[in-house]
Order: sequence, then C-alpha cells, then structure tokens
Amino acid sequence: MRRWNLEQRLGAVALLWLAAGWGLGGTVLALVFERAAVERFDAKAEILARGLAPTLMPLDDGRIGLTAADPAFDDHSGGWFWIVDAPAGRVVSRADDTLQGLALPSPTADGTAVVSDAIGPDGVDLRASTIAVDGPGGVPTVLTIALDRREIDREIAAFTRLLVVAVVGSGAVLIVLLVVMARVGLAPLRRLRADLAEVENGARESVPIDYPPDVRLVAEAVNTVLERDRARMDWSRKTSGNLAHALKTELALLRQDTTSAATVRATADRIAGIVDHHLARAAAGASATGHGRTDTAGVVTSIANGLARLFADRGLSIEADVAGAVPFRGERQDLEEMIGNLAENACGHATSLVQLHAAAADGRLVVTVDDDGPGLTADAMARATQRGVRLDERAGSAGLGLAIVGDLAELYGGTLALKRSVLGGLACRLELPALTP
Amino acid sequence: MRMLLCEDQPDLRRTLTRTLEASGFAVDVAEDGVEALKYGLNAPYDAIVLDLGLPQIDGISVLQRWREEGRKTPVLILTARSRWSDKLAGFNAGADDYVVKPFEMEEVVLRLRALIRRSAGQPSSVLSCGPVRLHTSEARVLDNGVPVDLTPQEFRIFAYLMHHPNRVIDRPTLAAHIYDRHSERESNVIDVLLSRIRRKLSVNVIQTVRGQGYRLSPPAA
Repeated sequence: MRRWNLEQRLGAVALLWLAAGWGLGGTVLALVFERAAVERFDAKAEILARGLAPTLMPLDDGRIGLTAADPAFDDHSGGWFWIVDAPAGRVVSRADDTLQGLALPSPTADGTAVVSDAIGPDGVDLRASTIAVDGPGGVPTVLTIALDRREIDREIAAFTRLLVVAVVGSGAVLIVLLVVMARVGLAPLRRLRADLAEVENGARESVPIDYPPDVRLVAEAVNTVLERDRARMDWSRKTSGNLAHALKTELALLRQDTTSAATVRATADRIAGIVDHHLARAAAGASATGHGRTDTAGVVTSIANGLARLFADRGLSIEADVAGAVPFRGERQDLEEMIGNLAENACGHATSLVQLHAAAADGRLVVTVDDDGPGLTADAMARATQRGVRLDERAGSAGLGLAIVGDLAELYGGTLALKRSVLGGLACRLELPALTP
Repeated sequence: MRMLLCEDQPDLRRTLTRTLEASGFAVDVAEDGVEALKYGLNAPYDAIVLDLGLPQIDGISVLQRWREEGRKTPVLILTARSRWSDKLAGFNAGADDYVVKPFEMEEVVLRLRALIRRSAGQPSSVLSCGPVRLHTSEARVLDNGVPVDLTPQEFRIFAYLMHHPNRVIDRPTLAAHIYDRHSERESNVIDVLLSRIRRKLSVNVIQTVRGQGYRLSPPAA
C-alpha cells in the first residue's frame, strides 16, 4: 500500500473538505435562492391581483372583467395573463382557448391567495395566484393572475452562474493558500529530515535544536536516542574489552599451570564468574534507560518466594517487608537482578534469618537486605563497594553478586552501601530512583 | 527412585545420566521439548531435571504444561541462564529448584534427593523406620548403625518405601518408580527384590499386604 507524505495527506484532506463543504454549501444556497425567487414571484402575482381587484367591472355581456389592467397584460408577446371567474362566466385577458379552459384551484374563503402551476398559451409554464374578491355589486368573483415562470428560471440561472464562479474562484484561492500553508508549516520537518540525513551520513553527530517548539521536542528526543545509542556502543566496547582482558588473564594463568586439576577447576569457576558478570553488565547497559515503572513490592515478594525454594533445606527464615515500597523508575529485570543477587548472597551467608525491606526515603527507593551471618570485615566492605574494582580483584569478598549490583545501581544513578547489620551479619542498602506519587 | 532428565546437549546429557544412575536413580532421557512434555505427562517420576533451552518447545513452556495438567513432580531447572529474571520466570512457571551451569554434579544430586524427600513430606534428611535409617543426602542405609549393602534396584525400591512409610504400595507403583522406560519388567522381580532386602535387614520393616501390595512400618515392639 502506498504511504503518502505529510504534504500529500494534508492536501488530500483539504481537497476532500473543500469539495464536500463547497458542494454542500453551493447546493443549499441555490435551493434557498430558488425558494426565495419563487416566493417573490408569487408575491408579485398576488400584489398584482389585489391591485387590480378594485378595477373589476361588469362587461356588456353581463360577465365581469378588467378594463384598466397593466399594459403588460395587453402585450401579446409577454407572459402576463388575468382570468376572472364569476357566476356569469370566465373572462380572460387574451382570447385564448387554453386560458378559457385552464383548471384553477378554488380560492380560500378567508381571501388568502392560492398559488398553482399551470400550462398557458403556446405551452408556456405559468405560475398563477388566485384570490376571491367581491366583484361589482358584491358579486362573488375569483381573480387569477398568471405569470410566465421563465422569469424565475432566468433569475435562478443567473444566480447559479454567479455561485459557481464564486465557489470555484474561492476554492482555487483556498487551495493555493493551503498549499502555501503546508509548505511553510512543514518546512521545519523537511529541515529535520535533511539534518537527520546528515547525521546518518556522518556529517554531524546530532541534529540542531533551533526549531519551533513542537518540532524542537522531536529534535531533542532524536538527540537523546542518538546519545543513548552512542553510550551503548561505548558501553559494549568497554564491556567486551574488559571481558577479553579478564578471560585472557585467566587463560594465561591456565597455560602456565595445567598440571593441577584443582587449578583448572578454580580457573574454570572464575571464567564462569567473569562471563556471568560481563553478561549482566552488558544486559544492564542495554536496558538502564531510567524509563519504565516497576512494582517493587511484587519483585521483592517474588524473590523472597524464589529464595525460599532455593534455600529450602537450610531452614532459613526469609522475611519481606514491602508495606512502604514505592515503584522503581527503571526496568523490572534490573531491579530483580539487584535485589535477587543481594538477597541470594545474604541467604548464602545467613545462619537463620534474612530480612528484605523496601520503602521510600527522600523521594528515592531504598531496599535493604540484612542477614545474621558472619558479615564482612570493614576492609572487605570498603573493597567491595570501591568503584572500578573488577570482579577478579574482588574475588573472595562478597563475590559476584555485590559486583553486579554495584554496577547496576550506578548505571541508574543509585548507590549500594554496605554496613554491619543489626542482625549481626551484612546489611546492604540499595538506593535507587523511584516513582513517588 | 525414577527421574526424567531433559537436556539437549549430548555430552552433558551423557555425563548427567551416568552420574544420576551411579547415584541410584533410574533415569529416562528427553532430548527435546516434545519428548520432555510427553514423558513428563505419562510417567510417575519422582523428580525431573529440566534444561530451559530445549529445542522445539522451551523448558518454561514444558513446565507450564505439566503444571496445567496437574503434574506435581518436583522439577529442578538446570540452565545457563543466570539472571534473576530467568530464575523468577522458572519459579513462576512452577519450578521447585534452580541450578545454574556450570555446576557441580554432586550439588545437583544432593538437591534432587532433597527435592524428592520434601515432596514426599519428609522434612528431615534422615528417614527412620525402627532401627533402620536412610540418609537421603548420602544415599546410605544403616541398620542399627551398620551400613546395609543394597544393589541399585534394591536401594531404589527401599528408598521409595522409606519416603512413603505406613502406606500400602502396590507392585505396579513400585515398578514404575524403580525402572526406567527401557527396562524389562518381569512380574516377580519386585517380590524377589523385597525378599533380598528383608534378608539384609535385622528386622522386618516391610510387610506384605495380601492382594494389595507392601507397606513399610516399624516392627511391632
């Protein structure tokens, strides 16, 4: 299916509206004018009838007729006729069989004019106005004035010609205006397209933002996406570089000492840990956008339930307090990764109790994980939260979990702090962006 | 005890099968999701090891179908997917345990034994019946503190009875839990195995319930 561009869409919609609006408006105008013209014509016939009624007089043969009518009635080429019906018989303005035999409606008793259409001499369409009047000597008389309809038709045709010229002319002017409006209105978008093409071919790194306010929002959004893409690429490069470095270090160690199965196994464990760590960082780098809304209480509860199964044989008590939890501003899987790793670590070291707590503090989400295990020494805690420390250098402390959590929290502009727990073991305090009401 | 191993990677499948059989399990193997789904629905396994990345139907879908069909067999997920979102997806689908590759074979075996024990409603890792004790984590039977030497089939049948004490278990049920799907099932083998076990124990803890099956219960004082 063909996709139209914005200008074509605007043009098509404008044409559609113009055609429909002008067509409907013109038709209504023409109908109103025709009705008004007919009413005016009928009024003219009635005025003529009422004006001539006082001049009705008896003729020599006893019938009643008009002698001093408008000269137009005498014009044989004209289309004006009068017809007088009285008990003595019909008298017409022109000796014509058609007029003599013309069937007319009966007038109303209250003297209101009755209009009707009729065919007159030479097949001329007539519009007749009939009124009941008192003739000479009070004789009940019916006076009809019939006028040639072609007068109305000529008037309507002249109006219709004028209307068509006006509609077509104004439509053409409007179309030109619309085209100009579309060209001028969409000019910023055309410019944005050109700027994006320059970004695509490498001529510029971002699009300028000197656009009208609404298009400027689009330009800024495009720049945000471009910036995020660049950050992700940098992140990927850095992650793959770190991974390669860490793996090559382990492989170098392996090449130097392949005689000990214990060494091989330990190295394999470290390599697996390195892969896990970098995979987690890569996944986090791909998703940590600061967008999204995650139900913190749901995540903490799910993790507590999962841990209860993972550590079912340890008889641990795993408590989750989420009464004051607020939603996390970020991806669900990253929150699951952070809390899951902290809690799994705590379960691994706890003697009998692990407590998970989520609440809001100063507009931030604070998740704490406490255990009653042996905890970490102050030195180990300091090393575990040190920025830029790689997993392999941190091995032997709190392990892989804390390293991933610290990196992820940092990506979200959050923090991970460790201290001694009131339960006796380690307390991990995770502070993250929240969506507060 | 009989279990289903669902793993598509041939080397790992062979190693796991060997280890599990050596640990006293009768093992059926499914190489893809379709087989896993079919076997899990049609046989009474005591536990299932399930890889998530199975061909044709992924592990999570297979697990969901088992649970939808009312199968309550304990399932241990064995996978390379280490993210917590994957673990939660597994638990939400009905998994009972989750082990991430690479792993220690011993850990998997220990976790499976614990799963089977818990699913049978046994909280302690040592199951007792009179002077006889089954140490589930080590797969050892002691009679008055003296180790009892049982063959793999004898151990499987005795372990099943120890996990379900004081219940009458019929022969077909016992057979279904000690043989894998390729084994020949001779009609009198169960009786022969139980006779041997009785002979190896100092007390008779396995009673024959005529016309119904067998029941494990402590000897009358």
